[in-house]
Amino acid sequence: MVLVDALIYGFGALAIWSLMYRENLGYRIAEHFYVGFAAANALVMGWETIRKVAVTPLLQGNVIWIIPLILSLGWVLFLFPKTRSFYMITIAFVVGLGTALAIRSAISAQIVGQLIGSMHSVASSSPMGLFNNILIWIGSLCTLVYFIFTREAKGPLSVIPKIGRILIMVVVGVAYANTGLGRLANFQGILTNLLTTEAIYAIPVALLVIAIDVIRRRMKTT
Amino acid sequence: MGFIEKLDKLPSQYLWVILLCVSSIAILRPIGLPVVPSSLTRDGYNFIEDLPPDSVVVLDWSATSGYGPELETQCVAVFRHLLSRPLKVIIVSFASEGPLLYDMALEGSKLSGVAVKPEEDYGKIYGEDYVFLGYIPGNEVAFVAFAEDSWMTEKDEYGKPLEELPIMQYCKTVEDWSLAVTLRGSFFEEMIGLWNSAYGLPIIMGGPGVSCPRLFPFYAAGQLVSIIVSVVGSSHYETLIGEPGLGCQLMDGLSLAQLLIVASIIVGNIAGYYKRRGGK
Repeated sequence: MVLVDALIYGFGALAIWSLMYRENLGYRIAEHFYVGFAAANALVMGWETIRKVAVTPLLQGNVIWIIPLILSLGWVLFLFPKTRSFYMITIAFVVGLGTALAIRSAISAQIVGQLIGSMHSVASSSPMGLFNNILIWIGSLCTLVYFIFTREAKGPLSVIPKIGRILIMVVVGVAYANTGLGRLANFQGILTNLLTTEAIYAIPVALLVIAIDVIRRRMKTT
Repeated sequence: MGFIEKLDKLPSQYLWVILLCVSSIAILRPIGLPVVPSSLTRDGYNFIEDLPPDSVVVLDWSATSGYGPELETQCVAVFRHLLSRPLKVIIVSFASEGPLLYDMALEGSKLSGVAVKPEEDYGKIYGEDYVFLGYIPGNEVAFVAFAEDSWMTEKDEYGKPLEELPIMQYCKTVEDWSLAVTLRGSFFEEMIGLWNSAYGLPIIMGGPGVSCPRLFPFYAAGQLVSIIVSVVGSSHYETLIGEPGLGCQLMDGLSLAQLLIVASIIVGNIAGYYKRRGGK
């Protein structure tokens, strides 16, 4: 069973990676399997959640759970024109809950917390701390100025939004590099599994298939 | 100029093949490049080290298999550290795959590394020193509900009533928690807002590489104690606790692959520069 698992893993991973060579049937099969399994998993997990959170307590006599269950029907009733108005109640409830949570969390964490974090003293006991504090101060100011569009910064003042733009570019660069890092980490994990388990047997088969395809295409062109 | 033109027309597939070769060599013949923990990770480690005995730490095991070893290695490294300290560890997951990945960590897998054995390796007893409450659905709603009532699940992941677990006497609400370690792929800002800003709870946060730049401002503002960034953060954490695992193992290949990409960017830019100059 371990061998079968490993081979399914190996062929699946290599079929997805084969897109780097070119679009092919193996890739499409693997893609469809992946989407299908993901949908099935989501369906099972969704039902398990409803059963665990609402249905079981309801059957045990906790009648309050009938309310979210009835409200959840609104999502399905949207499909029928006659019952669509019920859907609005569900949506109103979800939007209201989302807004309440956003007010509680987003304002305090992303606005107030960040403002407090940016308005501390520049002074620091260590030279690196001092440098960081100055950088935060200059960075915040210049980046904010970059987004002032009411009046064009001319002359010596034009330097400030330029610094802001450079700092935004640095941040975007860091985000891009981190994205690359994350994707490479996933790649390393899959490659480690491919090379250190029975999944390795899938590699020569995949290479053979690619070699045959390369030869076949060359013969066609000549 | 001939070389530059050739370089410009080189199919991208060649780069993938080189990347595959470099990474494969590093996996099959590890070089053992040094791992130097960053202050970003060290702050979290030090915070846990300084916690008084019997402090309650909530470990949010919200790893998902889609992120591969990025989050799972973080969970394992932090779990090992928490087990090595005299703390009360409440494990919970707000991701549906969390329980599956927690079990994989206990059994050992290619995604989590060597099996974590709390009783054998750390002398910790389930229900007294650590507990796993399982998956709680609902994200933001669940964050608040669990903070307000840590007994909301009524049973642990294995169906045992919480009254029968002595560790739960230490943990009723967020007021009892000393720290939350949350390792996840989404809902970062919501978690910070609801657990840190609303309750003032110190948070160590870990995430995949793609998401971590969003967290740096929160760390700089003191809203996060520490950030564990991708597999790099895992390797740093493993080094700090003196238990090198899968994170450190993946670092050789990752470092060489990064070097290759940096070299490709430099070569590509030089080629682009010469091409433009030649065009003029």
